Amino acid sequence: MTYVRDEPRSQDRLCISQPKMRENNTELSTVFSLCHEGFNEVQAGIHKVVSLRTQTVEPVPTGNDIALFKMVNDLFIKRTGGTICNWTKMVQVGQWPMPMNVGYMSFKLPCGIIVKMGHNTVTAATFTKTVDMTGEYAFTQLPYVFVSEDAQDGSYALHSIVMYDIHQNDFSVKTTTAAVRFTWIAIGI
Amino acid sequence: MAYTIDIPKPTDIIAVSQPDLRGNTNEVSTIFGVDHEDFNTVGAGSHKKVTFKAGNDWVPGANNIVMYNKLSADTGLYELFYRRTGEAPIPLTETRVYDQFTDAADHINWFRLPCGFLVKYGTTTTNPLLVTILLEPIGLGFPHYNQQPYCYVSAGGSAGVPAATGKVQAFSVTNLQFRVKSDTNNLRFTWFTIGI
Repeated sequence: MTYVRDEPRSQDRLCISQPKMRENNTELSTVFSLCHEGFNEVQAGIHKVVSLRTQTVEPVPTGNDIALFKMVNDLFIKRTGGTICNWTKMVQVGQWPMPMNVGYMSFKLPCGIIVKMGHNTVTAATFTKTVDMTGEYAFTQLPYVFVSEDAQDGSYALHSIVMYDIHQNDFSVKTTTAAVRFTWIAIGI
Repeated sequence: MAYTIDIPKPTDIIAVSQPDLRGNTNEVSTIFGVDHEDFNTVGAGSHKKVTFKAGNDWVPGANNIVMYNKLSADTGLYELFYRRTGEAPIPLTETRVYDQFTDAADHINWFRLPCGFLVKYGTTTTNPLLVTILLEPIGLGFPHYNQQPYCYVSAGGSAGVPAATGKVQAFSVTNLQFRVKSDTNNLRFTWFTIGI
């Protein structure tokens, strides 16, 4: 079944137009009810579901509009002027479960904030560790970083743990002794 | 082109109704195809995108959830909101980033999680050893915690190699402020709070 535009035509008799008009009415009802409560249904017109097909070109919202769409395998929000946010992708840089000092996890919130997190150990010789955050998603400004000591296997001890030398793609941590584990989280844009 | 309701009229002959019927046929296809895969295409009826027109609050019907676009009083921008039946609207895309991290000044920023949690985060220094952080600084538009948030503090800044002796501890947390005590003066630290 197809939906036929330009019907009824001016030169058609009603007996000619009638099957096409009827088919259009049926097709309209069928296609519309895929995502919406159909005509004559309770709450007709509201969405049952929002099924988003993969797009290859970003939509261009205008005025104060905001567009929600799918590209590849994720959902995006785009505002007028081009700000785009992939808010359903979880990035895994390295392995999972995350081995010490290798990689991190990151994601974006619908508001556009980037969050990265991981865990590391300070090196024995210097009591310091530089954490590499290079990779998706990239901060465009210096992020806010938070660190917390992270004891393993039930063993614990209290140490000072201080971060320093924060950049967009890395930061460093210093402690008062070696083998101190720490978890970290970085927030920014 | 316009969509004409109430046609054909009972008094019309078909020659009169025909242009309106034809116009409606085309308009349905055109309008539907703005956000949806159009008739006669693969996936017809699915969405290509969902465009949220700027508007006002919507009230969902029973057990429905609505999502819409309206001007946010907290950001001054048009933001996506969603709302459950009988509940207040929850902002989905709100954030204010006033400043990136620096050692040069104290900062406070905030954002919302999709579940409605409010996160505020910033940096300041332990100068003096006991400092108070206001969660709603005067002069900046800040959403309000209705309950005492959870508070996290972490010592350190962006410059130089510290002595690694700095300790910080948060206490006296309320929905409007919290205090931080340190063993080191002029120690920069970052903080974030999360709550509702």
